[in-house]
This record gives sequence, structure tokens and C-alpha cells, in this order.
Amino acid sequence: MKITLEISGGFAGFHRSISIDTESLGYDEKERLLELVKSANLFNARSAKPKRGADYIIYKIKVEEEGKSNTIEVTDISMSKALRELVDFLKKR
Amino acid sequence: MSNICYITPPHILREVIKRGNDRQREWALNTLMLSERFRGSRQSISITMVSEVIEEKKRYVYDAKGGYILPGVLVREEGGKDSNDKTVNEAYDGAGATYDLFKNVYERNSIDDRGMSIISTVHYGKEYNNAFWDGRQMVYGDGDGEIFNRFTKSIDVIAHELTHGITQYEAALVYWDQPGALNEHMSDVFGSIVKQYVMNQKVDEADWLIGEGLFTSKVNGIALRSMKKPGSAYDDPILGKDPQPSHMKDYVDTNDDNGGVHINSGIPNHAFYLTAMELGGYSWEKAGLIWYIALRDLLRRRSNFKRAAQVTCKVAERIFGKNSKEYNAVYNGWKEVGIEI
Repeated sequence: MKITLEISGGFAGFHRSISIDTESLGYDEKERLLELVKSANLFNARSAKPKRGADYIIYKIKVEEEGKSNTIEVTDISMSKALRELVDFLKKR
Repeated sequence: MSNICYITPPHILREVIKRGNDRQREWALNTLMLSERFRGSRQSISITMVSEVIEEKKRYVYDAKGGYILPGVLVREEGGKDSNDKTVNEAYDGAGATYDLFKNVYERNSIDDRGMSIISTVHYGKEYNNAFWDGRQMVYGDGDGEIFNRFTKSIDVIAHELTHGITQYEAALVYWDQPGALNEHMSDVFGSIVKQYVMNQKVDEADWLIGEGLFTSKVNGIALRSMKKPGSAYDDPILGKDPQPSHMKDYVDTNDDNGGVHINSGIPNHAFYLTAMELGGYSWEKAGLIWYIALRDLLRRRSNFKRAAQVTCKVAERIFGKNSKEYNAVYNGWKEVGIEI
């Protein structure tokens, strides 16, 4: 499974991209990541960008596995707790 | 709700208008108007009564205590004493300075021009590298201490966020591509103006930087953006180089950052800087006034850079005359960044 996180926007407008293939991870990390993907229901999650507001950070998350893929865009105020945990995990990479 | 309307006595509604939060006030005001109309005596709520009670600052600062739930715990409100937490005081004072500029110079009463409460939340998230406007309030992170200090450290950041609120209630520029970059631009313009106003600086004394002081000493950069020289604010091994253009020929087409709203704002930012420099004196008196009137009355949701150039010229012409030095300064400012009307 491949997961890509692109962070853009925010007051600073910085751009950062992080890409992880679960096959490149050790056993514990891989299990942890798969668990986070599952609890965030990443293959079925939907984009949630605010209609109002400005300077929010945009988290674009793409997940791919065996021909299936899903891409979503969320922000700090619109993401679930499970998605935040996933984003925090990916950001530390 | 309609039952409650008619059983809440008007004197209580008037108290709610005076002391309630925005939602309560709006409800009370509507209810009062409805019930007064119902009784056929709507003139009894005079406009003066309504405006009299809200012509003052109403600031509220909340603490998210490292969490992500807004607004958090109320830690300081209007007239309350200083907090022991300097971040709280910075958010409070910065919001006050911004309110004062708009009130004293442009006769605007808060974010919505109807006395709306100014709400800020500090200590949002963990090592959170951002400040934003969520559509209702301002939110500030503490920074990670590696790249960023706390976001309340720069007063122009606070004024920048509050101006997003004003834009939402006025031109309501969509947050995408050129209208989005104009939205960012307006926030930078009044962000910088508030800082100059507080420091009583003339245009040639100002630094024209956005977010000066936000970077830690580990970063090779002076600020997030420069209106004087877009693209020169930072150049760092980790962050890369400030990507802002200062001319239309270098406009950046991208899907990131809502179509580069924080990147291409460099172009109108520089046009404003050039206009203000040509006019000299205090930026808020002429250039700022022209931009404010354009934002309030003439820009629309989907206005682009060219439209902004047209309407700021139109405002300058209306206020100062067709061949005035003010009109010429606005025209020249836009022309130098590659936008001719």
C-alpha cells in the first residue's frame, strides 16, 4: 500500500510532500500504519474543505493498493480524529 | 422559536442585544424587530439604539490548551485584566489595534461593520505551525520552536487574519486563483498597515514585511513575505526560497495552496507598495483608504487582478480626481507589476 501526503496552504503557504510504501516499513510501523488507515476508513473517506475561512492548511492524502485508490483533501477543522492521527504519523516521517 | 419570540419581553431582548454573544444578539435583534413589527410599531427600535450599544470593541480570547477543539476555554474578555500568558495578551492587543485602525481611520465597526465580537483562540494544536481564520474567528498555533515561533508574535499576522473576516463580509473573494490571491493580498495590505499605524511609521520607515519575527533564529529568513521585494523574505536549506513573484510575467500556475493564493499575492502586494511609496506619508491615509473602499464597495467574489486595478483606479478618481497624483500613483503601481487598465 502506498500513501502520499501533500501539505500546502497555511499562512506561510509552504508545500511539503511525504510518500510511504508500507512494504518499506518494519513490521511494527507497518502494522501501526495499516491500523491507522483502517480506522480512518481511508479508502472511503471524503474530501472536506471549508466553504469559508482562509489560511487553513490543506492536507491532500492519496492511498493506493492493487488498482484501488482514493484521494481526499481535508483541513484541521474538517478532519476526523482518526485522520489526524494518520496525518501526525505521516508528518513524522 | 416563534413562541419564544412573543413571550420574551422587549426589555429583556434589549439586554440581550447589549450583553449577549453574536448569535444571541442577532436572535434578540430579529425577535425584537419581528415583535415590534407585529405590534405595528417598528419605529420604536431606532437605529441609534442598536448602533449605540455596539459601537465598541468586544474581544474574547480563548485557550485551546494544545487541542483542536474551538474555541476552547475563555481566558480574557473585553475590559478584563492582563493575562499572565503573553500569547493571550498579544492576541487581545493585536485584535484591539486592528479594530482601532478600521474604526478610527475607516469608520468601520468591527469585522462585519455591525460590532461583531472579535474571537481569538491561542495555543491551538501541538507545535502547530499556522494561524488561520476559520470563517468565524482567528486561530493561532504556538509554532514548533524549530521553524516557527508563536504566531501572535507579529501584529501584522493578527491584522492579516482579522482582515480575512472583513473580506468575508465585504467582497467575499473566493479563495482560489486570482480572487484568492487578492483575498490574501488585502490581508497583507491591512496587516502591514496596522503595524505601521501602531508604530506611527511613514511609508519610507516601514519594513513592509509580513510575519517578521515568526521564524526562529535557525531559519535563514527575515519574514514570510515582503511587499517591498516579493521573493526575498527567506532562502533556507529546509524551507527553500520565498516563491513570491512581483510581476505578472512570473505569475505561478499551480494547484497547490488553492491555486497559489499565498504566492501570487506578491504581485498586487508590490503594486500596493509602489502606490504607497509614490504617495508618501502614512500608508493608511490615501493608499489604504483607496484599497479599503475598493474592498468594501467594488470588488466582487470573482474579481481578478485586472479588476482590482480597475476598481482601485476608479476609487482614486472618485475621491481625488482623474488627473490627481493619487490616481496616477495607483495606475503606475499596477502598471509596474504588469497590469495595465
